[in-house]
Amino acid sequence: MRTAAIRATSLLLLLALWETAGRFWLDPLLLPPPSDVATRFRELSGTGELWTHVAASLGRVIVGYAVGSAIGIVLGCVIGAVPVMRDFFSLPIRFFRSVNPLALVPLMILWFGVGELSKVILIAYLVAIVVLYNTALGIETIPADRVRAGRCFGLKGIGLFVRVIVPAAAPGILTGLRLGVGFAVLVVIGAEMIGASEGVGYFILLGRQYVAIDDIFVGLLSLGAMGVLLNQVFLLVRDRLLRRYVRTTLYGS
Amino acid sequence: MLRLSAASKRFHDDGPWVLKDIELAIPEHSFFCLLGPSGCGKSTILNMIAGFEAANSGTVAHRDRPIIAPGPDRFVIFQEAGAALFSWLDVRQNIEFGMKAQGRRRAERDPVVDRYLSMVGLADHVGKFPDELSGGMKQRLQLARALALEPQVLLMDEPFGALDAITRRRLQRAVRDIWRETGSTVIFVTHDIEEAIFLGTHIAVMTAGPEATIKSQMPCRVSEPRDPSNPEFGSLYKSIEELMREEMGDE
Amino acid sequence: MFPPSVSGRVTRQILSVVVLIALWQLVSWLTGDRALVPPVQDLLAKLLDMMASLELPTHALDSLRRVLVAFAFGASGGMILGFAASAVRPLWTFLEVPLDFIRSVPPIGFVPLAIAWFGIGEFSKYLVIAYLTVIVVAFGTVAGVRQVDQTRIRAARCMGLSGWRLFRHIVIPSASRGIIGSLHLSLGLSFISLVAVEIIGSTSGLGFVIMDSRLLLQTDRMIVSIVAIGVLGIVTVLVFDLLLRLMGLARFMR
Repeated sequence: MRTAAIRATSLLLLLALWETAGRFWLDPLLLPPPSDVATRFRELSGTGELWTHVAASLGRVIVGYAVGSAIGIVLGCVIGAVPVMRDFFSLPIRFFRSVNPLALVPLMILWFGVGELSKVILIAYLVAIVVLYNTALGIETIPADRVRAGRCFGLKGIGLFVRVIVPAAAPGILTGLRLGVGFAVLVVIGAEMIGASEGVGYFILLGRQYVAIDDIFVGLLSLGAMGVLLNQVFLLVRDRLLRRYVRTTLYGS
Repeated sequence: MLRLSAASKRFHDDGPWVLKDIELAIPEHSFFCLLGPSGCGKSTILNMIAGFEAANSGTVAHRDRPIIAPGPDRFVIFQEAGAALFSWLDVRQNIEFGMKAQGRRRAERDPVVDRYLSMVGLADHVGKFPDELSGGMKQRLQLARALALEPQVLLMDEPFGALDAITRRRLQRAVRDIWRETGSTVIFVTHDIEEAIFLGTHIAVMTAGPEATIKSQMPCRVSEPRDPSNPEFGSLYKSIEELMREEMGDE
Repeated sequence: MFPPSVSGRVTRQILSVVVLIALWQLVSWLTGDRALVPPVQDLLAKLLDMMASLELPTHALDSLRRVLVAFAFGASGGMILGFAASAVRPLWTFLEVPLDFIRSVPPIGFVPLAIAWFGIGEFSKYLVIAYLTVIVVAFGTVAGVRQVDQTRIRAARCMGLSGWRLFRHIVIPSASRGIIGSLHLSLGLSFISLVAVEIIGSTSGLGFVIMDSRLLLQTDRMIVSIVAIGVLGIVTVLVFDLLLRLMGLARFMR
């Protein structure tokens, strides 16, 4: 309770400081005070302009993320479970993981154009790599005795895989899925700044071209809100629906 | 003499009393075993003596001075050696640490370190780090680290609880030999009756919590060898077991 | 799945590289456009070209300088902030929420703001690369200090340590693992921020070369630069780890 009170006060204090600084010390055009940003936010959301951009970004992220995570989980399971595949894919995965995600934006645009396809492919690719890696790692690091216990129950083959191995690897899979959210948001903004006609990234860059810093702030705040929202949805799903899979009995408290 | 009089403890202002009116008089140079069912507050008594926690009422005093903070005259051997040792220091540096903190010179430190290294049998492992030692060796290191400060009182909180039976017996012997050699007072918390009889000069049995208190206090004057073949050992064991059973209920 | 003669981990790993290259060549041949999907020999030729003309080393050095300068300032700032906030609890309660929010905005979002405020010079670039390091390292430091085992603190207090000496000899070494972890993480993130500042508003650095190649439709130059910045990132992190080891800090990772 006390912490919450300090936090609330701190936020209010911060806003007050920002307001005073923007209004009295600095040029409000350079540092628009929160009240100006709020007014601009109302304008932009009133005309629906902001929502068009947010919806465009979210749409790309959701489609790319869905495709990428599905591919990542399936491939990760196969690679993690088959030792030969594990050896075979270890170097390629290491290579692709080390490629800088934003550096790929121009290449994808060059290959697949400035339309939706290049963005969705890029998001899907990045999510797939990080999910695949963590899924395979999750399967590799399952304690041997847990698999042996499953075999004592007479499970083998697909049954063992579905009922013991995949659930036991769930923490790894979930780690990958969570990192994927961050990559997806990062790269969609990059792609929208370089080649797009709508989306939050495009909107922020536009703000810079018109030196409309209040627009940039509105864009950044919606971007942060988007990140927080996606993360919260993820945590909600994990902690409500998948709670049992992230319990650990291995290391005690 | 280390004395607790009417010491009571609770963790929240209007929570239940964990300990109620603890009366203990622990003579100098004794090996004092505190025996009780798990969760009864044995460790809390130890923490009060160490100075980590203060009693809500009553007094805790060492040589007639009230205990208000931890100090090098009373050193704790923790159960979780891995957590208590300094993982970034090797065996020698761990033992040296306390003396360094007291500002003692190298020439002064070295013989002390060597003496306790060999006393606990770790002389061959000086350069190793704690995570390279077995559970038993970690406890030996904790012991050496404590002994190097030559504390008047050694507080041991179920130090061998996590060890296998053979290592455990070996360390019990080592602790008893070291106690005889150094003459410090040892306060030893355990829930193992055999361990208490094997080691102690005095045994106190606690009641089960909440509002735990000292149920009974007795000297332990069993002659050697202190093992089940000795009828004195057996009869003391039986009477303590009887006391403990009353506290444990049907468990 | 594989011929019986092919066995052993190394063989399979080498095989994977061969298959990957063959696949690339096949795609290049199928698209029938060497300019769009340049085959490996073209990429190697371009690499030699860019090395000989010093284009690659020059821009790589610019990129490296930006990361290193920003990381040095960001890491020191983050540790100072983290320790200060650990010592003064209300300070952290005050900062945690805003910092967490800023952390959840991808760094590329801040590039236009930094340019609008501070121009397209080096300062705005350092700022965008460094701010995330400050936040990540501050969080790592606070978490590291918070996770110091209570038993260990008690053991040190038994030895008579308290106040600054307890902090200096026990808390800092115990928290080092978390701090070093966050340094490692933020160094990796710095390279993402680096590319962000270089593809949006820069006239030098590997990110600039990538954007420049896009305008000139030079796929080979672009791919060489993409791989180069990946390699630069890996090597920098490896050297950083090596330096920590050489400085004798490895023991704090235990």
